[in-house]
Amino acid sequence: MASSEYTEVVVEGRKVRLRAPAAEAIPAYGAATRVVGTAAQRVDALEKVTGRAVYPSDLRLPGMVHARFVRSARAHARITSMDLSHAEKVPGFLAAIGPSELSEKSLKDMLGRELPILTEEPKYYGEEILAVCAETDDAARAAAREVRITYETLPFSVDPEERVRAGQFVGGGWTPTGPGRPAVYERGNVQKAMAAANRIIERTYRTAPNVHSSIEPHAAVASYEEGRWTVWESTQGVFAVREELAAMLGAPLLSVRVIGTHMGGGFGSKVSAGKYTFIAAYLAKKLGRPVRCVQDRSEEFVSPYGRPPSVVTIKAAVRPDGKLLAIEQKGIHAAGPYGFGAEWGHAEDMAAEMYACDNVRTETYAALTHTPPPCAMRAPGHAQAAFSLEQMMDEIAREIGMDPVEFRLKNLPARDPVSGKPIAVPRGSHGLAECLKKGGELFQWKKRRKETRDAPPPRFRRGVGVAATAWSAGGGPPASVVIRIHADGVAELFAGAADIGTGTRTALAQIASEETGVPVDRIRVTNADTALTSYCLPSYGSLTLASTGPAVRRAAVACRRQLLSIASDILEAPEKNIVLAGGRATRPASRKTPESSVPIAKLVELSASREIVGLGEREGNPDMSIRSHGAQFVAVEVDTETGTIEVTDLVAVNDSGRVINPTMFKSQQYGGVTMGLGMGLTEERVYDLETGRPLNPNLTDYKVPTILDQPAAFQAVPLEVPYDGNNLGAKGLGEPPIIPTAAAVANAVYDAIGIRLAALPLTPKRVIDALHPPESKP
Amino acid sequence: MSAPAEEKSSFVINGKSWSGAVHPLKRLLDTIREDVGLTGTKEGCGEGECGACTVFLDGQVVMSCMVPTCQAEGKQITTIEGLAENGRLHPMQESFAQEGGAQCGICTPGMIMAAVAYARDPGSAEDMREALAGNLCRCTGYIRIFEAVKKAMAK
Repeated sequence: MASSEYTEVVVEGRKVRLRAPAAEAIPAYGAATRVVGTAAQRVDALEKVTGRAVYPSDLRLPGMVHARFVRSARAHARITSMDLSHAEKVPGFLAAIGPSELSEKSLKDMLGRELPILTEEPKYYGEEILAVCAETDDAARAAAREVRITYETLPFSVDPEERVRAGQFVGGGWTPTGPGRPAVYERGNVQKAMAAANRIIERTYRTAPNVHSSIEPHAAVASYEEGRWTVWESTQGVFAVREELAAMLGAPLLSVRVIGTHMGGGFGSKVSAGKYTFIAAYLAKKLGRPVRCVQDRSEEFVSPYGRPPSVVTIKAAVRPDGKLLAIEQKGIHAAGPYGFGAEWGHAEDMAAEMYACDNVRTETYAALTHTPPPCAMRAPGHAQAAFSLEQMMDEIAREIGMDPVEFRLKNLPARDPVSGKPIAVPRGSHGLAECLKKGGELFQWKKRRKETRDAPPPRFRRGVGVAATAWSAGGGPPASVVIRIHADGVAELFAGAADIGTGTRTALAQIASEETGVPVDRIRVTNADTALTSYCLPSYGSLTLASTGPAVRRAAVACRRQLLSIASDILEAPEKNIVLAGGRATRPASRKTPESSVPIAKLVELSASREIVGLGEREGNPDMSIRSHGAQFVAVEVDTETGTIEVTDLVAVNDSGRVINPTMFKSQQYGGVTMGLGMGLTEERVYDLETGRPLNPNLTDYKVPTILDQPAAFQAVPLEVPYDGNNLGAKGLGEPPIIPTAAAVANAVYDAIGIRLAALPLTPKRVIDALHPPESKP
Repeated sequence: MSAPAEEKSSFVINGKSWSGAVHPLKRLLDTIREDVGLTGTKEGCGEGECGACTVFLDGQVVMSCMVPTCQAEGKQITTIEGLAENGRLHPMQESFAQEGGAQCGICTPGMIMAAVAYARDPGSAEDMREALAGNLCRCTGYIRIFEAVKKAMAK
């Protein structure tokens, strides 16, 4: 394994190459594993099904008080007066904080976003102006309602295209460009290639603003005692929250402890500290009492979160034999008033990286809209970009009379077209090729494609579609893990990673069990607590398992060596003949001697340290483009009278290397695809253009999928294409499943009705308007 | 604004009598979580949309965020904490644990309550979906939840 040995950093303007710490190689798993790869029950399943699992929003501390925000009722305004006299009379009122008190403070996150915590010039409907605190949550709400604010309304726009036309944008890519200049990526010569091509297709696609809609809203409880804060936060990353909060409070890192054991969903919206986190911590010190700050559901729709809408014009040229010649893309994303463009670089990445194509140009605009600042939402950028790119691939394939699966196979890159690095393709197989082939077989793609093509057009029309994805998901350092095995044979595993519902805790326990022989149900996982666990990145970017998992294996191997050494003496056998499993060290029977074994507890008891401790750090990655791949095949039935689209059949195939737990792997596929169906068919935060207010800030009108929206047949298929870039052989999976879904559905709809729907969500109205264009109606 | 008037409120929750002073219009959800101290019942929306706060009120499924405490006066309430009997999990809880029906777990208590109510008078697969359609889950895609309920019914 060719590990990247250096990281380049900048120290006082000087470029320095840091050497990676030397790490002993850990051999790949052998042919058979005992625990890794099994469908172990989640280690926290019982807590969750009994209601014993305590989430930050559940926490009730003695003397705890409640904070609530007062939010802007204008999309853009200057505040001319704030009258708190009525609020102060609400029984139980304790304190109010206004923007002037926090004028020196801002919310800065690890991705470089910077927001005012409270503002006198709100730039989107719902922006935080004041925070009030009261004895009860009801009193805090009442006090917030009683604050009287007058505004001088300022011009605003929630329409990203309008803002770009007005020159109100920043570069939308990874590289900041400053105001008024788009981010541009270019390779080859697109103009020349387009001029020489005889088949060019161009189309504009629109995706809608989506909202994460985790069932637990954003929530923090903070207490302050003897110069130290303890914060219970519903978060994907306790260490990011600690760093950001300590910086905002102007306090040393160790004066802030962040605990995030259970959390009720994040999907990218809980990577960083929130304004609610700061307010809870700030008031806890100011009032000397624990403070709870939890958002209402309606606030979730106006807070600085959500997937921004996009408008993507994509143009592609192809040779008649199916070789992609050129791709040109102009993408506009709403970036909110503070211009968070960089995170949407993923959209240009997808057009540039996904397929082998010598001539590519992307131009990306982050429009300064008066809408809540967006943040990463499951596969940021990619989920939007796939809607245009993967429909374009379908359209070109049809144009040249080629099967869209064949067309994609023909244009797979062996090297990352942007970085030039090899794509991890061990043993001659390409993850995406394998996914497309396997999915096509299971779905009976060729047969069904022919059936829908030849069917007569009745009221209900059927169609099939396919779309694909690639997502960088290699994980990596930093992650360090400690395992302690105690004298009763119970192991404790300390890892900084949050379990955001994906099953991280369980997967890590399985990895530890595999090496140490301690059964999964005898491993207690302590995670996401800055006082007890070592540093790690937030659980985002599909990096958790592939980052922390290899560190766990390394720590477990360190324990294993100590256990084997003692066992070898006791069982009078060489270490290589001893099996650690089921809580025992066993020397299997040989011709001469019967089987003999000793409990792991006994080994620990006899050890010199009376406790076996193993430390594991995540090693570096090989110098490659490490991708998780996926393909989805979808069948739809379109009712041409009502315009409804029913997804009748869906096959999702994903390659993320080794599967640690097949139940949890498939759960990621089911959940990600379902969120993709929401994005594709129902989810849209709708703004009133006259006022800039969201019109559907609730879960009745913002439609996330329910159990009634399940496809009748849904196959989730893990495909383990071998990968040896880390000691587990595993890559990430959280994001890939959502990426191709909306495009696959749209491609199937085209197959059914012969019309390409270019705007999300694919609502019945859009279908009817497409079938019967409004101007042709009587 | 006058001080909210608290009144004595009494009900039976998970088989135990409870009484305390609460405002009659306080949401039953808050009374259960704050006054009784049982936080297994979750708040996802507070608007009757997500089902995370589902409990039984005299055996009927209700979203406790939509019920004022005075409506529970003298009634029987069952929450997720009251499903296990004699230390044994309810078959529905067992099934959710075994089948992977809980991911982040925040919707799980409400989902299980809705499923237990459905299981008393089961119907077709479509009826099962209807019975659970008021409970939102953002993690699972509902596949394993559906399987978990089916398995529990077969026990």
